[in-house]
Amino acid sequence: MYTILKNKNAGLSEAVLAFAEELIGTPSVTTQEARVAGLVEQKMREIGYDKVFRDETGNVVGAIVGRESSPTVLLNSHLDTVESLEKGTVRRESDKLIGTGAADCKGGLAAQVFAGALLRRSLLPLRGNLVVAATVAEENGRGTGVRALMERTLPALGMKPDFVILGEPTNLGLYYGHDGWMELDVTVEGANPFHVDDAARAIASDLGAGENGETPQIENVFIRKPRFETVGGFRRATIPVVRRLGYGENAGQVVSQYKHEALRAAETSGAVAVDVAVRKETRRLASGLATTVQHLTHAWSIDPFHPLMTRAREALAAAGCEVRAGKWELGRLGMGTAGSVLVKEFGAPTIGYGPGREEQAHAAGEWVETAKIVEAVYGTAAMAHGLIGIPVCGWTSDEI
Amino acid sequence: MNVLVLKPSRQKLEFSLLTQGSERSFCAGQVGDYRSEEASRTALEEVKGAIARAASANTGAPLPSVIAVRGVYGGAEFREPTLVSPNTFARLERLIPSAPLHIPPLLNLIRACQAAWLETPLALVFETSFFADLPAREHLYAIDPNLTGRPGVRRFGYHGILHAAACQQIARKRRALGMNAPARVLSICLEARPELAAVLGPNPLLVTSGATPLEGLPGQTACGELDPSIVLMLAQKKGWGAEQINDTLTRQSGWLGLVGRSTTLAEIFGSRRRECQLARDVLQYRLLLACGAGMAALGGVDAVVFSGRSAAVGVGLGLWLKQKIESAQTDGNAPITIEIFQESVDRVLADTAAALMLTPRRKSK
Amino acid sequence: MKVLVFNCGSSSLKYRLLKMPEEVELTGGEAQRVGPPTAKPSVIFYQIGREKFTREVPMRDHAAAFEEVMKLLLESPELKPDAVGHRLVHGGTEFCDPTVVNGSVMTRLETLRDLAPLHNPPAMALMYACSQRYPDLPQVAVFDTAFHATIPACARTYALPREFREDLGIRKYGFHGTSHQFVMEEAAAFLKKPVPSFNAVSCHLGSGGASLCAIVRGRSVDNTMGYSPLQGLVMSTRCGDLDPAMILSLLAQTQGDRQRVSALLNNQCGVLGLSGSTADIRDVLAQQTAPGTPNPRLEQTAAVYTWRLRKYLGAYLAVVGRPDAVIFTDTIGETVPQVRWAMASGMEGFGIRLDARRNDSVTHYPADVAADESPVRLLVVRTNEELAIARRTHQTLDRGPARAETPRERSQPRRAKTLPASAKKGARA
Repeated sequence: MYTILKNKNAGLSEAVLAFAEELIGTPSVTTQEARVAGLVEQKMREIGYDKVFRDETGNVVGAIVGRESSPTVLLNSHLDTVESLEKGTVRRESDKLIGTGAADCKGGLAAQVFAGALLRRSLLPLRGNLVVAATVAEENGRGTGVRALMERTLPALGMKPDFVILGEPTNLGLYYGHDGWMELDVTVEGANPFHVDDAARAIASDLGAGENGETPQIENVFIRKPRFETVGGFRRATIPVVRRLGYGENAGQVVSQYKHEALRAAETSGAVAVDVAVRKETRRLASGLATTVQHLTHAWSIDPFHPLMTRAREALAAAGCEVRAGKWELGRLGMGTAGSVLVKEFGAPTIGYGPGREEQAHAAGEWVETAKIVEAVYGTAAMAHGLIGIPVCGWTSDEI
Repeated sequence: MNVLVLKPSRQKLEFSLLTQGSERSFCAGQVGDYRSEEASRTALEEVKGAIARAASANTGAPLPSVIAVRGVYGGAEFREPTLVSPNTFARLERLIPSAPLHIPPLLNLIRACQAAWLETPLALVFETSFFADLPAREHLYAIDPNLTGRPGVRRFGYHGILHAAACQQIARKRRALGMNAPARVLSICLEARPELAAVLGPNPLLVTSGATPLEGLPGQTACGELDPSIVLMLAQKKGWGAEQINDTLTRQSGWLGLVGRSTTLAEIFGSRRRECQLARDVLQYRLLLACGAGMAALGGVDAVVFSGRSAAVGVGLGLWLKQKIESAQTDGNAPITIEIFQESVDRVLADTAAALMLTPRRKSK
Repeated sequence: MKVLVFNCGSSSLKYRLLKMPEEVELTGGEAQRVGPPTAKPSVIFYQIGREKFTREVPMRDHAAAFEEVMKLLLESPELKPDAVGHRLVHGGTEFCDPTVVNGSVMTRLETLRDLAPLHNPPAMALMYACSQRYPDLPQVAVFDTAFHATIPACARTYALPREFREDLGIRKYGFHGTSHQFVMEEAAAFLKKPVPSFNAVSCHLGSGGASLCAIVRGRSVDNTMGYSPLQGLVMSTRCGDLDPAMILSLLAQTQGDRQRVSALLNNQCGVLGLSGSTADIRDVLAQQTAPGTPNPRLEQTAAVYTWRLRKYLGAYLAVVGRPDAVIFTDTIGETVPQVRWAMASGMEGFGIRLDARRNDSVTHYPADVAADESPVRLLVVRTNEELAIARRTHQTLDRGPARAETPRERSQPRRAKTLPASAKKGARA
């Protein structure tokens, strides 16, 4: 069976790289994903997905329907990229595709779309459903696209996923989670501007800001210099705090912890009002819908021995791929994956498997290795088959 | 009648055009990948080309009057050779879960055949049909079918075409000698996956293979019979999933696993090489066990027949088995005859398809 | 010598005290519901002479049960045991003979835990408890696999890569050896044949597990059970032979849930799986012959059960050649004439002729149910594993501890010629 998959994949390799190149060459900064969505939709139709459509949020969904109604595997990647200088340019060097979103995560998206093609071409029958969803507004929208997908689109399709594989960069490791980030604003308000200033400085110093207010780099917390403004006779100071959220930490508890500390620090500074809240922002999406987003990425993790991990590991090993389990590092502020929404809000077991390298995400001159994209197609198809395929047992040998 | 025989296997398509009155095939060969619709079309173009090339050397290209396609698995659905009709596709679709690697490309191949030879009827001949009516006592496993999620799971044989033909030949020979009682035959097919069937007259009563061709006698690379606990133990000790265990059991075991390198039945039984000793002992012993079981099923034995590509190995093996069997039997039993059935599957398929064309079309299920 | 024999079940402990070599049973009993407290209390049912007793006492594990049994015995001085014999299911390739228990034997037994994760540990717990509390009481371990150590390579080898066969110890071990050996010896004595030239097919048909054994010159040459007791015949809840691909499918379907598949194959298959209603073949046969509408599922169950037996009987008859006897034993083999009949009828080609009347009216054991002219005798023999263990224990200790403590050396010549490398490795370990 794996020989068939491997041979067919070799035949598809040029096509998947051309597709990846096209995706990277089409700019898709968050809220402007419509063009790239069109490309994905068109490719899914060409490949012959049973159902292809775009939902009201702008997510592109393609499904290959199995012989039984369950289980369902969701392959999910986001369409959007962060802002960058080199937007929309793509270069192909000997073994790399270079351009914004190459690693995060258009290479992964191309591989996932083609995993469906590979299963189709190999004529491997499926028991359950394969859904490939390219979602909008991940990078800054904080999972808006994937939330809409899980809340409305997939239930309406009758295909709520039992397993999810993200195409985010893992360098073809099997990743089962990452830490989270939250951005807090500590605000101090009062009629007496001196009281406010004193309180703000006291709080910043108490929370751990350096002498001169520079951003200190205590491992998991970044405290920025207070910003001051005067609004309608009131002085207001805002201290932005960015904090890593470990797995199992509750954002609400962290907020009240900070509030407690801030209140105590401000006690001696006269009459001021202190508040701590997660930063919020309103965005307009590509489809025209407006949405409020919180600057909060939850940590998430599934059990490294969850059946999804075990089956994925087993299938990769059987397919002859290297198996490496791990977690994302999330080296940069504001990074995250849809996993937090999928796991924490929808209870959908999720892992990551994508061709890019994590350190390339959001980097200048972002690149992805072409060979990894091709292998990702094979590995993803093998895992999907392990999870929802009709098992090929006893029949492998050529000669009967 | 000219019959084009097509034998699709996992990665290649073998073909052979047999013309009336000629023992040898007019043209034969194999083409590579045929699994997708597109590949099927290309593959058949190649077949057509090969026939045309063979014709230029001879005289005119013979048009096939019927195309015989060998199917490996027809389940309980296909109990006899069938001419393809529009409802054949739906019947085949139902078999996909039981033979996921074989049925989907077969569907493509049939469609491509219909497009390539518009008016030519297509005969589907399945290896399993001979065993479709295997008694329940033999084909059932001691497992609650409702608990396995595969309600129809049962035992089949996977070399029915040769078993049937070999047993028919024995029946003909016996009739010529005036013996009309149904023969009790141990039919041993020596292919990459050897298989023994115990056949009474026209009916098989026992077969060594199982729900898939993996069970039974050890094959070229397939393990054959195994303690079920071994599979679970491998899953635990090796941390392997079903796929990887399957790969080991189907592709790295059998004679390959016993000898430590790839080998053939001819080498195992023909050479005295030391590394083949264990494989020979195990195979011989398992065959003897199967013969004993077959004799218990048949209530005795009249003939042992060897067929398949390694049928010639049966000459020596047959003598050993005969001696063993006779020493297990009481005196007074009629002597056992050892037969070698030489015909190829191609010829048998062609004859089957031709016969199907001559009989009035029965309404298929 | 008074030998106390223990036979551990998963939640029970059977014991018998026998005076050897006279083979007189002094007392015996069974501790039931051994384990953490449940709604029903743990209890020991026992018998001294003809009198029956019960004693309710908490026994949270097999060691505690052992302690209670010993207490009970020591209450009467004439029931004080001189030696203990244990039944162990799995001796791996290590133990081919009854073995006097000492520290190094326990260490070697520990290495076998993997092979019999369910069966060996309770007996080992007993052995530990015994050596701690009664260090002077000699103990002998008698292995179910030992009799099968003589199965030759051609029959014990699975067609798997060398790595599996040698490094993972995957081979046929065979089980029920103590019983097969016992009934074979009984049968040979009954027919007045010396064991070293006795050929037979022994059918141990228990109400739970069942296996057939091919015996040539008094030695086991094949057994229907294999690497584990799961292979072979249709048993009460065990599946017996299956296509390996079916197990792989089950594994894939359950997303690799080994425990679930294992529980299914061990506890929900066999007669229970086939009938859907009962795990006891006697119920199936009784209902099948009872008046009323026929139940096709029960008919099939009976047919599959007996057909598998018949196939294996034929297979082993071909291996043994013309045996002196076919032996039927244990609950089903001893008490269900219908099963013997279904196996033996129509087997004249093998020299087997059953006398239907004799078969239906077995009142004493051993009984010969073959027709007078049958070249092969068909014997119904009562198995007695506890007595067999007592005999081996007595023999082993009687020969003197010095020899008994080195079973390896003695067992070497008994083994089949080609010793697998795994066995050699095991010996060094």
